[in-house]
Amino acid sequence: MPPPDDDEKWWCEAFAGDGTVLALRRHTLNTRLREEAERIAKRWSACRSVLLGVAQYWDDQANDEVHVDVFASDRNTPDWPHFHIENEDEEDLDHQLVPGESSRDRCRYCGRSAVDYLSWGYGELVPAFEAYCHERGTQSSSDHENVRPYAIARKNERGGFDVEHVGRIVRPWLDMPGDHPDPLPLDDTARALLEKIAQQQDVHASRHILADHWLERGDLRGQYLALALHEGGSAEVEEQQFTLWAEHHRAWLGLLALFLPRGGMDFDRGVLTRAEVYVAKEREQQFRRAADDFQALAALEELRFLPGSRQRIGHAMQHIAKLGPLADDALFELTIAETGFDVEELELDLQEPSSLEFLDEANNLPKLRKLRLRGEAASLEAIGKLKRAPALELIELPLDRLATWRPQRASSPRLRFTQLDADAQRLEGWSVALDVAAQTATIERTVATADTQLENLWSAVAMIPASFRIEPRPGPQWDPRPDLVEALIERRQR
Amino acid sequence: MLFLALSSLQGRPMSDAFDELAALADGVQLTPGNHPTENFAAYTSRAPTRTHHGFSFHARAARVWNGSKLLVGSDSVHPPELSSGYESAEFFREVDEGAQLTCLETMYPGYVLGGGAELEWAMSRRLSLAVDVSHLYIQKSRGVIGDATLRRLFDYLHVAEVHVSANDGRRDQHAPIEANTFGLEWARERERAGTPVVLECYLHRMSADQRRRQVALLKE
Repeated sequence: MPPPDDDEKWWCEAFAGDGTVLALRRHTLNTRLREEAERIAKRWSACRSVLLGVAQYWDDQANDEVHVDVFASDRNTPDWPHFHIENEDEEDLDHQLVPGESSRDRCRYCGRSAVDYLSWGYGELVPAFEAYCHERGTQSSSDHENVRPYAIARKNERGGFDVEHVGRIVRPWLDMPGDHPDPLPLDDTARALLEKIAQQQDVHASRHILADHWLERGDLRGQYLALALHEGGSAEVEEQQFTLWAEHHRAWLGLLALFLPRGGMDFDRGVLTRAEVYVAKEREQQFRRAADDFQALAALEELRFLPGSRQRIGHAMQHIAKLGPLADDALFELTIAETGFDVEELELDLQEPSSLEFLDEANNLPKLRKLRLRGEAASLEAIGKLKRAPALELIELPLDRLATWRPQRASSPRLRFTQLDADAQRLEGWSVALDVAAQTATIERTVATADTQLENLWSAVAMIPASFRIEPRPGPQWDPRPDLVEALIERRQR
Repeated sequence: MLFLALSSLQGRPMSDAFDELAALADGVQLTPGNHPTENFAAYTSRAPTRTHHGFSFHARAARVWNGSKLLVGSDSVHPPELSSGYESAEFFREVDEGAQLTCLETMYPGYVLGGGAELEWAMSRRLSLAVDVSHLYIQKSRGVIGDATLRRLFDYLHVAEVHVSANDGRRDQHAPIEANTFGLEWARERERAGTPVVLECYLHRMSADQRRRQVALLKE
């Protein structure tokens, strides 16, 4: 017998409204993490970065909870995953590194004098952060099994901390909006200006013209766009901009609004330029109409289908530069469309190797230059048969495919092998880029969203021919410990 | 009949979780904690179902109690959680005064029916009970239920459901069952006798074979 409809209340419901979720996330990034980093830095003067991680698992009464923890480092980016310093009987906050000793990261276990348990609540955090957590967490598992990174705070030149959001949505159905206002129309002038922006034409001027166009009509989108274009904005202006956006943006998204999780969009200087969509199987037909709707897609530069999403191609996607991942059916749909597509970077998750042939038969993808490939068809053998391959600048494959690589002639395309973040369904984490001409293998890493355990890298690096020079390339999201780099080189030389 | 709790795949869209679970057992117990999907009520006609606690077709969970007043019509529910403003005595009084009830689940300290004495009270009132053997294990580990009460409970005539999972005796972990899980043998007997048995351990991390093994442990 089904329960009655009255008085329905999920225990986290009070924190589940769209506005509350958006405000809580903003508060976490703008204020809470920054304050926590400053607190740690006061107690540990060498601290330069703090990573905030989120995990979902249930409490002792099997109630749903999201847990947050921080991991601090004296480098520009903490290592991930974090492993405790073993046998740490005493902790010396002012410990000076001696030559040859690696730097150290700290957590609430191994850095207790500096890093606290965070008491930010548990159930309250569920609606805001559960979509960024995988489902396998338990009380018995360790941080590197439970936690996914959400943000990184890094010390800046002024002594404060700048925060970067690195979290990826892994369960989009848990972040779908509850608010569905009627979409605001897009007139021909606005659409034309947005398309110019999407095609990187007069992007700055087009935005200002668009803002004026809407302001003259009393359209709130104009006010928002004008605020977004205001340079050197004060905290008050930013607050005003956020409030306006949080309250009204759903009506600006056309038919796409139904498929955009709350964390699945980026507005660049007032315009939606990046979207991550989730299409549930029962809404696939509705998405067909959205895919042909220019209201929201007009200025889109990147469109991503999130884990578990159905995929459909529509002619309103024609100016999107980065698209995917597409499965076999969606790739076929793309390549047989009468519309030409400006896609430059295409991500594919193909189960049938023969599906790659669709690319060779397509004449509507003239700008395609980068291919990111995973699934059963992500093989060097399949790429070897792809006629279009030599014309591509880069082909990216999962890291474990490096084991099957053999040196070819020094011709394009360049190959990069990258870890697969299975939860977020992205190629992210350790990557090895091969330059056959220069005989180098460049190693890089994106911080934080993949399981970046070193063993994955070791086994991949071991497959690179001895004649290749290994070049670790630190970057914004990888600040390796010196001993790690030395070990990498040494192991390679064995 | 053996049911799998929808919350065994808690957090997943309802229809996705339902499909995976219905393929493993005789039916699915609809529980709170999954994300609502459109037309799910019609979808559930594909397999036998029972409803539990705050399950709702339209929300993650429905509120179940307002004090001692039951707000849902589920086949079974957890009794109220205790707090500084609510004690078991109030619940007992309301029941004795004729409060409408459904099948109540045996719990652990912190809830009504969380100890042996309260279970004795329930049995003396001939209340319909959902016996959760994992919760009884917590009661036993904490020393709040005696062997005599356990024996009486296992012989009780008005057991409408049996719930099965494992834990460490301290926390309601909904861990996978093993051959020596407390209450497993009794649960199998009840299942053979026709009482609905619900397996409610979290299956997210398990392979297909491991899930089948869980079901097989209850069907042996």
